[in-house]
Formats: sequence, structure tokens, C-alpha cells
Amino acid sequence: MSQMIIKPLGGQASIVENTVVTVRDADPLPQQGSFLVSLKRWQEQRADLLPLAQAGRLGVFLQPEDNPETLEDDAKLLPRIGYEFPVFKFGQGYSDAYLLRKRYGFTGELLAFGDIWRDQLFYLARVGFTEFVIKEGKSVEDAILGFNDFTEVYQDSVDVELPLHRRRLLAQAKKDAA
Amino acid sequence: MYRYDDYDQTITLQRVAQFRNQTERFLTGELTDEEFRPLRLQNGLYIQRHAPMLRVAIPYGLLSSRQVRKLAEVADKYDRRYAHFTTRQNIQYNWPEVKDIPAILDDLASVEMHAIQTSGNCIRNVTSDPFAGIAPDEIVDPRPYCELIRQWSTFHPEFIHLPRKFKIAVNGAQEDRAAVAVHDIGVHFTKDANGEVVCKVMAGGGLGRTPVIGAVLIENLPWQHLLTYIEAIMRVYNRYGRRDNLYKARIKILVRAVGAEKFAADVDAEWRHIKDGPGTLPTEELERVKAYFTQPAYVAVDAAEQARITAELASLKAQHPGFARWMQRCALAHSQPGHMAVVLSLKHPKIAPGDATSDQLRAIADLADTYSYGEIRVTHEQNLVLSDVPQSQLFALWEQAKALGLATPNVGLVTDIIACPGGDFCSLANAKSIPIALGIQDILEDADYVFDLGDMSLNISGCINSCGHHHIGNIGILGVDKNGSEWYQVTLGGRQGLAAEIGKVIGPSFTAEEVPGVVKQILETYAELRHEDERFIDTFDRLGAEPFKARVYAKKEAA
Repeated sequence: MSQMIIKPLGGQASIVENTVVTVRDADPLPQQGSFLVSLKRWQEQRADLLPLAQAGRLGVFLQPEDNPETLEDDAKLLPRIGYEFPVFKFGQGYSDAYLLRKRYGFTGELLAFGDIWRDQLFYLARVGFTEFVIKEGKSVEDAILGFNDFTEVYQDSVDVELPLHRRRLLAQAKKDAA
Repeated sequence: MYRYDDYDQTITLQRVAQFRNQTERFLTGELTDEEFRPLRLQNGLYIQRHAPMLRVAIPYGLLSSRQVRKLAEVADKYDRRYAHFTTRQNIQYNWPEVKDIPAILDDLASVEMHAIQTSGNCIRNVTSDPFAGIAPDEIVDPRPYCELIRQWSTFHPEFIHLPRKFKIAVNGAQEDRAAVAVHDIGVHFTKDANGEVVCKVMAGGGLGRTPVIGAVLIENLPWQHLLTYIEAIMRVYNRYGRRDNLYKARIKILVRAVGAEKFAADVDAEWRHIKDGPGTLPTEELERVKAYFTQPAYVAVDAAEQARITAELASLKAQHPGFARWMQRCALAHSQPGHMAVVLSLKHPKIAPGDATSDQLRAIADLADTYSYGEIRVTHEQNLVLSDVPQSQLFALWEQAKALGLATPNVGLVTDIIACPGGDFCSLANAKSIPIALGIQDILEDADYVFDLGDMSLNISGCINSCGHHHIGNIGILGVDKNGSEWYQVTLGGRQGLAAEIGKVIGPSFTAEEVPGVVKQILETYAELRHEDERFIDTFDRLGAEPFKARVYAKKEAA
């Protein structure tokens, strides 16, 4: 079984066994374990699939052409949403993730897979991804170090409530009060 | 100017460590060329024709003398003792080694500089008015806002892999010296009826393959909302900008596809979700940043002293025609009595536009310390500015600048050529730019003639990426590839500023050898047809392209 990295929002990163199966549309659903189906399959077979989602086993994966707004109503009941990055430079996923987290109230696991390796992880975690399947051939042990690239950031996003300029002011006020 | 605090310095140093690791993984073969590419571009590192090129950010064009000395040191240690100032207020090294880049970044970080996001599909170095803070026509000093945008855009987690590169320009004066209309986002600051700082935000302007003037998305946006509004634009672009076709990926294509009104409505709808949220700028933060952009301790000049200086300058100008000419072209009005801003021309007739040697850089740093409170500005015309020179020291400065080859009195004249590095260095280029610029300089050796021609701009780009801003030159020259050979297309009528316009192609392209002659004919036509003191662009507007075309192509056919 392959490995993946998990990093809960605000938590530490660790390497675990990857038990989440990505089920392509032509493939049958697994009898057990966690898996992801395409947005299309979810929409077409929602009534049948809903119990599996409610049981915490089934999630939906998005691809570049999918609009995360389609999941606005379902975001709260899905345990996991996957996002397939076709290429390293694919940046739309970052805004889509931000919207799922900040606007559609998604609190489950957000899993990045596809062309994913060390140099995206810091940013992906910032916009709310919590699970990372590293591209085959890339070292998972090396990739996990990517979260340590920066200890300070300027912007607010999913991971940090306040931008640096507000935190700086608060720190200064605290210092002044002391 | 802005100084880093511990937060800023930490982020910059961690960036150096991050890039050092990325470079090591590339050099050990762990990262392929293709994998390293987006990583190095985010750090301004290109693999060029001869060697890598490193582009270093000069945020909104401001440099301290200490930084300029460090840039000179880097040129000596890692390059061929010179560097090139670009049309986007950056500086480029043309000959560094990939393995040396992390060490260069260490050197730069020691003076609060970096190469972050100077290339790649991300938000690039924010550019602004090189005369910010000192221009008599300034309404709002744009520098604090530029710095706020710089920080906000640095490693923004959502916008690090955009569909395409993204450039933001900010202006706060009556005249637009930042070319805001031809940027992905242009911000134009002003004050409303109550004296509150507000801005107009434009989007979708740009040069390149599809030159277009930006659409106004919002007027009178209070400054507190600057960053959330930009964030809304970025999010809409990042979600809906095209990623299937490199040539249709810029925001201008999206704005045109959906229409400016619909685009503005989409941005507004997105903005409503984040408006007044944590990204809203507090007054305390603006004040904190503003405090870095205070005026230097100007020496006050009373009326009697001013009269004495004015008389002395008049007398010096009478004695030294070269000084008089330099004063007219290179010394600009200043908001502070008794001071002027001085442009050091990097358009010496024999040197590639925008190039400066390390010795020149050090000398410029010394000039800045002696005459201008240690600060230097970079213009998008590829010249440098000493922003705060006491009038009483202009003559001494001129003598020194002249000895350094930095006092060519051609600022704003036809020989103040803007040019990209072109095919001599850049692997994107279709054609060379620098030899064209030098070829034109050669036929314009008569400084009196050039001076007499007056204000005009001549811009050269080696390819349609338009780094040389050819579209907005009064005379624009674009290198094109025709069946593997280098040709040059000529446009007339382009202009920058508030009334920015894209120049129009006059007809079939020319060979490199023909270009200087063509420019000469255009200038002769103008000289013959102009009304007294009429600028080139005004003559062009009055008569259109026809007389110029007739001259240029008649001679070509006859030959």
C-alpha cells in the first residue's frame, strides 16, 4: 500500500498509509474502505451514494473542469473531497479549496493528488488541504519537509485567521501593555 | 524607504533557504529541468541563450545607496561587472551560474532585497511612479500602498500558480508615470471631495500580443479596501482565466471574453464576501508603513537664498551650454523648494539601454549619498533618478555625472530609447534589440538635432512579449521572425500616461539594416511638417500616419 501525508488544519504533518482509493468512472465501487468518486458520478448517482458518504466512506473528487460551487449544498455532508492536480502549475485548485473551506463550510478532509510534490505542500496546506498523495517516484520523506519552508506568512487564508499586519499590531499592543 | 522588520527579514531568509534546497535538488538530478522550471522562474531565474539570467526585484523602483553597492558587488562576484535595468523597475544579471544563485540571494537578503516572483505565473514586482513623494503633481504618495501590495502578494498561497504572469502598477499623481492603463491591474490613487484617499482600479490592460487599455472596474474605492478588492480580482481570474492556451491566459483575455461590465460584477460579487474582513487595511498599518516614507531632512531655502541660487544657476548655464542642456532634459521640478529630481541617463550612445557597470553603480551610490540623501529610483524608461538634489549642488553633480558617462542630456528625447535585452540574451526573442538601439543612436549623433526634435519616445521590443513597451512608444519597433530571419515592424502614435494609446503598424517590416534609415526618415518628415514647438506626437495626431508612410515606403520602393 502506498503512503500519503496528512496534516490536519493547524496540526503536525505525518506520513501514513494511503487507504483512500480514487475510483474512475469505469471502475466498480470498492466493497470496503474509503474512496473518492468523480463529481459526475456523484451527481448522477447521488441517492445511491449518499448512504456511503454518510457512513464516512465516500468522498468526491474534483477535476479542473469542475466548479466547486456545485458542491456548495453537499460540502457539509461529505467526509472527504479530493482534488486532482493535472500538472504542478495548476493553480485553480488553490482558489477552489479556499472557497470550499471558507465559503461552503467544508470541514472534512481535503485531499490533493496528481502532480503533487514537496514544493506545493506549504501553499496547499495554507488553503485548507489536509491530505497529500505524493506523485509516484517522489520521496514522501522529502516532501513532508515542504511544510517547514516558512514559519511566517503575510496573508490570512484558511490556515491563518488574520493577516500579518493585524497580528503585528496585536503583538505590538500586547508588548505595549506589558 | 521601507525597512524590513523581523517578520520581513525572516520570510526573505527562509525564501533563500527554500530556493537553495530547490537548486540543490535540481543540481543533484532529483528535479528534472521541467520540474525546476516553475520553481526557478518564481525566483526570476531564466535559462538563457548563453547563461542563466537572474532578475532581481526593485520594489516600486526604490533603492538605497547601500543596496546599489551590494548590486555592484554581486555583479563583480558573480557576473561580468555590469547589470541591466529593465522596463519594470527590476535589475537583471545576464551571466550568473545556477549554482551561485543561492549565494547571490544571501547577498541580496543582507540588504533587504530578493528575486521573489520576478518571473513565473504569479504576481510580479509592483511598479510605480519613480517620482513618488516628490512630484509637484502628486495627489497621494503611492509608495506605502505599493509596499502593502508587495507584502500581501509575496507568497500568497492562492495566487502562486496563476494562469499567466500578473503585473500591478500604482500611480498617485495627476500625470500617470506608472503606465497603469497597460497593466493587469492598474491602481490610480486620488482624493475624494472629503479629502479621503480613494482609488480607481483598472484591470485587463496590457501590451504583448493583444495590446489593450485596461477597463475601469471601480472608482473611488476607499484605500482600506485596496487589498481585499485586489484579492477579489485575483480569485475571479484564478478561477476563470484560461489555462488551455498560453496566448489566451492573461486577464485581459478574460475581461474581454466576459465583457468589462460582467467582469466588474463578478469581482464585486466576490468582493462582497471578503469586504470588511480581516484583509481590510487598518489605519494603524497604513501609518506604520507610511512612517518609512518620510521626507528627508531637507535644508530649508529662504527667498533670498533661492534668488541667489537661481542667479548662480543662470550664470552657470550661460557659461556651460552642456550644463544648460542637461538641466533642461535631466533636472525635474520638485515639490520641495530649492530641490530638483535629477535623471541619470543610462542611454549613453555607445552602451546598451539600461546597462550600468559595477563601477558606475558604486559611483551612483556615492552620488546619491553626496547629493540626494542616499536614495536612488529606477524608471521604467530604464534610467535612474536622484530624487532630492539641492539646486545649489546641481552643477557639481553634473560635472561628476558627466565624467561617469551618466549625464547624456537625452531624457525624454528620441535617443532615450527603451529596449529589452532582445535576441542577444533572451531566449524568447525573435530578433535582436540592442544592436537596433545602438544603430539608431549611431545615426543620431548630432546632439543638437536630437535636442531640437524635442520630446518623443522610441521603444524597441525583440518579440511580442513587449518588454520594450514598443506599443506605447511614439515610435515603436518590434522584432518579428519571418522564415527564420529577423525583421522589424514599425508602429507610430503610441503613447503612455493617462491618455495611453497603442501605436499602429505603418506597413511591411524592415530588415535590421534598414531600421536606422527608416527612423531617420520618420524624424525628417516630422522636422519638415511640424508647426513651431509642436511635439512629435502632436504632429502625428494632426497629420496621421500617411506622410510618414509615404516617405518611408517611397524611398524603399525607389531603392
